[in-house]
Amino acid sequence: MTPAMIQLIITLVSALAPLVPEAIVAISKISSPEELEKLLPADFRVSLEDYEKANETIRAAIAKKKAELGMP
Amino acid sequence: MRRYKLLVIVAAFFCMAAMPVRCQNCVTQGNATTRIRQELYAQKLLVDSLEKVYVNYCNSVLGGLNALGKTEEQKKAELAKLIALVDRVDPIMRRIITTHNAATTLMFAAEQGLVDKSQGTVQINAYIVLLVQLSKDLVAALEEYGVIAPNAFVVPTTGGTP
Repeated sequence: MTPAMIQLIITLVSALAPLVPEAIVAISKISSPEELEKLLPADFRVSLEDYEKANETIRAAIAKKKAELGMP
Repeated sequence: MRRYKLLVIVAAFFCMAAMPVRCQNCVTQGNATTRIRQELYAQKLLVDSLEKVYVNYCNSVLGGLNALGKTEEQKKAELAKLIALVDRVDPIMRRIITTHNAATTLMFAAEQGLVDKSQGTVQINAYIVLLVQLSKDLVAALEEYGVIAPNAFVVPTTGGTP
C-alpha cells in the first residue's frame, strides 16, 4: 500500500466517522411515531446558514487550489 | 487485493451514512398531520445525511489533492470534476433547504391554527412533491459524480398524497 493510499484512507475515515453516531440517533428518533409528534420546529429545520458556511469554505479551498495549479 | 480492501472500507462508510434514510418506519398510515410530520422529518434526515456526505466528500477530494505521487494533470482533472460537482449540487441543495424550511414553517403554522388547515395541507403537499423531486435530482447528481453508491440513498415518500 502506497503512502498516498494510506493518506486517502485516513482522510476518508476521519471525514465519515462522525456520521455514525448521528445515524444511530436519527434511527432511534424516527422509529418511534410518538417521539415524532413531540419534535419541535427546530428539529425539523435544515440549517441554510450551516450549509452556506460549508459551501463557502469548499469554494474558497477550490479557488486556492485553482490558483496553486495555475488553472483559469 | 489491497484495492479491494480499500473499496470495502469506503463502501462500508457510505452504507453507514445511508442508514437513517433507509428506515422506512416513518412512512406509515396515519392522519394528515402525522403523515406530513413523518414526510418532512424523513426529508430532513435525508437532506442532512446527503449534505454531510457531500461536504465530507468535497473535503476529502480537496485533501487528497495533496497526496504524494499525483501528477499536475491528475490534480487538475480531479479539481475540475469537483468544481463541476459543486456547481451542479449547490443550486439543488439551496432549493431543497429553502423549500423544506418553508414547508416546515407552514406545517407548524397550520398545527397552531394560524393558517387554514385544509389550505395549508394542500400547500404542504405541493411542497412535499417538489421536495421529493429535488431530492431525487440531488441523489442522481451525487450518484453521477460517484459521491454515493447507486441506490445507497432512498428518497422516502408517500408522494405528498393526502
